[in-house]
Amino acid sequence: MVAAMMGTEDTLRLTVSALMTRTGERQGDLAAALGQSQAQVSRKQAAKSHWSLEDVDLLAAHYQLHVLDLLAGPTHAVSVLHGAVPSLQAGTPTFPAPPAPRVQTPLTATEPTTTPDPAPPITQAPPQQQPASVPEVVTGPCVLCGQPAQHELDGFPQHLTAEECAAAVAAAGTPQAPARTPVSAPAPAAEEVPAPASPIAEPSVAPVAAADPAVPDTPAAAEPPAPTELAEPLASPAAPPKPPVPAPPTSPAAQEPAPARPLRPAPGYASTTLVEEITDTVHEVLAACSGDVDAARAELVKRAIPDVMKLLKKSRVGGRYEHSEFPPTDEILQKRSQKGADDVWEGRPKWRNRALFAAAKKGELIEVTALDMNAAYLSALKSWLPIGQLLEDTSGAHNPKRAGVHLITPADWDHPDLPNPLGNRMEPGELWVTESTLRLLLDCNRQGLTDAPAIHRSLVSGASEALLEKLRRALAESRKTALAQGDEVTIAYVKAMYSKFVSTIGESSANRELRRPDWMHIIRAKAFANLWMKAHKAHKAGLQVVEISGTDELHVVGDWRPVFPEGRDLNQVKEKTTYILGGKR
Amino acid sequence: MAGSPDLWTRWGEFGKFNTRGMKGGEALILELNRIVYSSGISSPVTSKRGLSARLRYLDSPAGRAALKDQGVTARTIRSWMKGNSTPTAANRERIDSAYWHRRRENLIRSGWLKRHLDNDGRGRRMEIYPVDQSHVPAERFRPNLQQRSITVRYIWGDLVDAWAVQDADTVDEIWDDVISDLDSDYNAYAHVSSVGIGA
Repeated sequence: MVAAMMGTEDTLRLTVSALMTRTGERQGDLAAALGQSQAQVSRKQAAKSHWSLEDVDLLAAHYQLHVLDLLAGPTHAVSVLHGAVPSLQAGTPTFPAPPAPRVQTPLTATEPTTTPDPAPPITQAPPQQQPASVPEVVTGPCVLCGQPAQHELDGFPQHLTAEECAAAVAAAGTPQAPARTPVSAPAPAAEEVPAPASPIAEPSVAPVAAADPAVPDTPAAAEPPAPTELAEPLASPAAPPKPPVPAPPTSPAAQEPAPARPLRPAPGYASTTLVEEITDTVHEVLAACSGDVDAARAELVKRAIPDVMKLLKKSRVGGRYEHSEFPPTDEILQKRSQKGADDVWEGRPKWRNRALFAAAKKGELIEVTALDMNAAYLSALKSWLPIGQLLEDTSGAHNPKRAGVHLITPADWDHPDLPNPLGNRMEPGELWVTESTLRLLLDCNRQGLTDAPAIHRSLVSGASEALLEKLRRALAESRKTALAQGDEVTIAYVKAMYSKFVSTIGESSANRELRRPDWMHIIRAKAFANLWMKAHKAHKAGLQVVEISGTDELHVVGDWRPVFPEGRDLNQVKEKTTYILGGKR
Repeated sequence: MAGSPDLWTRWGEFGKFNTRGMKGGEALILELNRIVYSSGISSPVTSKRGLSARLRYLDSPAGRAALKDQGVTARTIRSWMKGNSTPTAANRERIDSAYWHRRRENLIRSGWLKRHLDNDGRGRRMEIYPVDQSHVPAERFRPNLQQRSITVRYIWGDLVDAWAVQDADTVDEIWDDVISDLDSDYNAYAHVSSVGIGA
């Protein structure tokens, strides 16, 4: 056995990898289920930190294995997961569903929402309450959600995961709600308190999620990820006036693609309070305009700046870092005149593939697809932002824990078929770039594309990538829900909020609540860097990059669909046009 | 030693160990100037839009008086207003300074600045950035000197009055009031590198 050769913890790491592969989970999914961050799981799997005994319990609960099975090596654990091998502790399972009934539970869960033929009899109770599989008696109301729980931790009766709580609440609220198995749906963002509104929407997610463990061995695992847009937005707690019952077409539609991968818990991650604030504002304004959509949209766009600043303030409540709002502006960040720019080079891409354009001029017909990145500035809110006042640092080394602006001399770029990450800078010599551009250049260096830039001077402060993360998630979540519901007013409102946020947090008199020109540059440069990375991805996948420009335009030759998922989500791209290079557009 | 002499004597000799900064009152004045001069017409006077907006603003007895103070004759003004001629670069400068002069007066006279800062009694958030110690020898460095952020109320009326008559001593005293809210080490903020007001 493997365990004889290596330590228990190494075996556990192998087991976790095996289980993750089997269930098609990614570290983020597992992390969410354990209530940890993806980085923690990564470190634990990479042997940079330890799996604690508590983690082992959580892992066992997550995969619904007994702890002993989990520690008995990857082969055994996977066999038990599939029910091929009996559990070492078959008589006294610690966690709700032992392997055998486990396979059935999800099956029952796939059916009940809409499909009327209950092949296995649907018991209305959640799996925790099936006496056959759970020897323990109900110990008391869960300290987290108040519903009956079977487990006790530290002497407090409670559910072990957030979705058990959610399932219990859902079961208590709507008796018809399908039982959710804890195994299939990783908890939505562990950082948030289990959303009070999410259980309402949960049943619509359950079928998709639960369908997975029932068919763990289908070859569909190799297929591209099933489109989850239909089901996911419904999981969002936005839209209070919506009826709590999921829309009828959802379940069959979600079942059809036979999702072999578990549902990614992506949308459950936004703060409910913030998302509700956005929807409430929209409803309020709509009501004030007595349903006149155009008037409401104009009104919402008008109040976007104060609203987004209010959201930012709310999103920072309880945050670890207190950022400076009006730090003294260093000379290089001061605008020279009203229309003028400061000294910072944001690296806006504006590049065309010379070779391809030359070939087109000679008469070659090249079919090009223009791709459009969705909400580029919204994604770019996740960037390394300096927290406090920028202070000078002349050490010449890049400290990843700090961010700001840097005076660098970039290395030469000699890839004619790939745009320069610095944008279309013509002048040689040193220039001020932001953190985002510098990190991109250092990345390029790591990948062997170019030499590292020489850093002469930096104005930096301690940094965090999460300063705007809560705000970004709330906006992203609202946007996603609005897109799914075709709610044009909310889409326009959210768009106005994030785009005006980015453009007015500098020296703008339209927004006096925050004066961080450094943030503005870093966020913009991050959007450009993201676009460059997409171009690089296309290039690596064998597509020819024809043009990149602005924040969101990428023109490629070739079949791009295997490379980029198509859609309007943040991680997807949409096709703008196709045209013949050199021909008429 | 003007305004709040205690504050400055307790600090001792400023700059003795190479701290960089200014008196808190000076930083306050700079910040008030920034607030006033970042409001108003934002198009530059060199643009047609910015020029006509300024001329329109100055089209009053007081405005014409302000232009006259800058050395522009009534005849020239009439010729601009009628559109018979456009101002030269030097005269555009004069128009701009006359505009800002009038606007500053008007913001003070109308009480807008006070109301804006007082914010219906809620006051404004003020961020205080301590003196720059990057050149201070290590043994004299104070590691616990941090950026502070406080909500400042009640002083704004007095502050704007003192700022309007350019009474630096009173501004110093007001600064003393502001930082005495900080706590026992308030004296460390007698001198600062800058002050930011969220307005």
